[in-house]
Amino acid sequence: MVIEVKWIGFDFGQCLMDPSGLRNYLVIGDVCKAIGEPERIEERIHKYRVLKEKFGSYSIIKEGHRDLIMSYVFDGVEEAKEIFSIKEQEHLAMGSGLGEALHYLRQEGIHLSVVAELKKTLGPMGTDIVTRFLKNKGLIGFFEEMVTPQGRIDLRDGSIDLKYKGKTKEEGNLYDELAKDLRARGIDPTEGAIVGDKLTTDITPSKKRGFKTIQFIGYINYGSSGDVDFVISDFRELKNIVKGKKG
Amino acid sequence: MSQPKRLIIEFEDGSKKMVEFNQLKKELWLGLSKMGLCPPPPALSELSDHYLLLKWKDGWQEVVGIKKKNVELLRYYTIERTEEVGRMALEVGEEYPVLFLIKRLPRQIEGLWVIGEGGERYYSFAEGQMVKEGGKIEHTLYDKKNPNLFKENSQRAETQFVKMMDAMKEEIKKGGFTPQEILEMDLDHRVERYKAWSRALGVTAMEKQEDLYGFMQRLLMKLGEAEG
Repeated sequence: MVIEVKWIGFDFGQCLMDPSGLRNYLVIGDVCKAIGEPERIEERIHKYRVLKEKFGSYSIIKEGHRDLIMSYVFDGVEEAKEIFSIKEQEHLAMGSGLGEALHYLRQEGIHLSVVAELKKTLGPMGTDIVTRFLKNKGLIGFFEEMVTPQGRIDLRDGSIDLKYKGKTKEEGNLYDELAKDLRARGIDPTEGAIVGDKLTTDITPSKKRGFKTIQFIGYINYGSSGDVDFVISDFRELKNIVKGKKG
Repeated sequence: MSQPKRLIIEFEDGSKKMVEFNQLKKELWLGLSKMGLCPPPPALSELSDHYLLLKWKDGWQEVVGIKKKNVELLRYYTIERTEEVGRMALEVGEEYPVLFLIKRLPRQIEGLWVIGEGGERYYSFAEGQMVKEGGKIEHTLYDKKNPNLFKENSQRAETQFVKMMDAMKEEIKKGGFTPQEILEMDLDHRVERYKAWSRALGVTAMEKQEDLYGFMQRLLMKLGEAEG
């Protein structure tokens, strides 16, 4: 079966962005070496692991407690802050087949957005992890906007629309706002699709608002659900299931 | 040998600093004892607040001490993942080779330079052989003992080395000193330069920062020799 859509929203973490390469020895190790302290690699990796046990996951640390990476893991070494962000980006990869799929979708005339659960306040483009990633990987030109609980950022002019602020994917009110915006642009949610890995934030709440849903299991498989329309493990599979809807 | 009380450090100007021996880290105390300066640290110097006893299904048991007043298990889990580690063996003219473990992206190393008193040697790496043994996969990128598979092609590595030396020459020129003049500077001034050059050349230390400064000094000495 092939679906015809005018708009697709992509989740970011573990979907557009594949964190497989973010190994502690690479990121923490490279930072220690760059600041001239290779002798402290093991100790700092251990501290980073301790932080993970405290907060539950590395993404929670990065999104909500980034200051602790600097103060606890790197003992407040100022230089480590910027190098950590650079190294983190260097070792992030794109989801499998993403570049080819995005080229195809744009050729089909489909509007593309990033729909991400960003917790950090939005700053100028390139200062948050998502736009920095899109820029570094040469993907920013494919996307028109980034929709987050911190606001909607127009990736063409950098302007920020704060009406999304405080709305989340999990509660679904972010998709309510998105559906309203798309309708104003002449796109019904049934003519749109969400691609993501998490059933609770990407699939079920968007399906309830009428979006088509595509579960990406290329990095992690959170299981199945009746709300899933398609399952893909490589973005190139989108070429077989999605076409641009004219008119 | 009676029990040591304190460690005294005497400086060139005659001043002294001291530390109680029981405040030394166990590793330092052990190191001093290996040098024959004191007996080894006591078998039990301090009681931990808590101890964990881990019991395995096969009957094995291990104990670990924790110097914390309150201890309660938060979680226990294991991580199963394929780890790729490089093993670099070097012949050093002795009975046994020197072995390094390479943890950073081991299969992406493309070349190796050996720089030192014995001159320079260059090795270019390329994946030449893959052997599967049970759950283990071994990728060999260089093997001196298998010349048919790994014909030494050092050209690429040598070209990169020459480029690095040229870049280093440029860095030295910027400072307005000759290699010899820099080599005659005191250590602090040299290290300051080594830090700056290593950043400019994009070189870091794998295990010890001292190795990086030593490497920069070797390059500097080589440039000094070349300039006569």
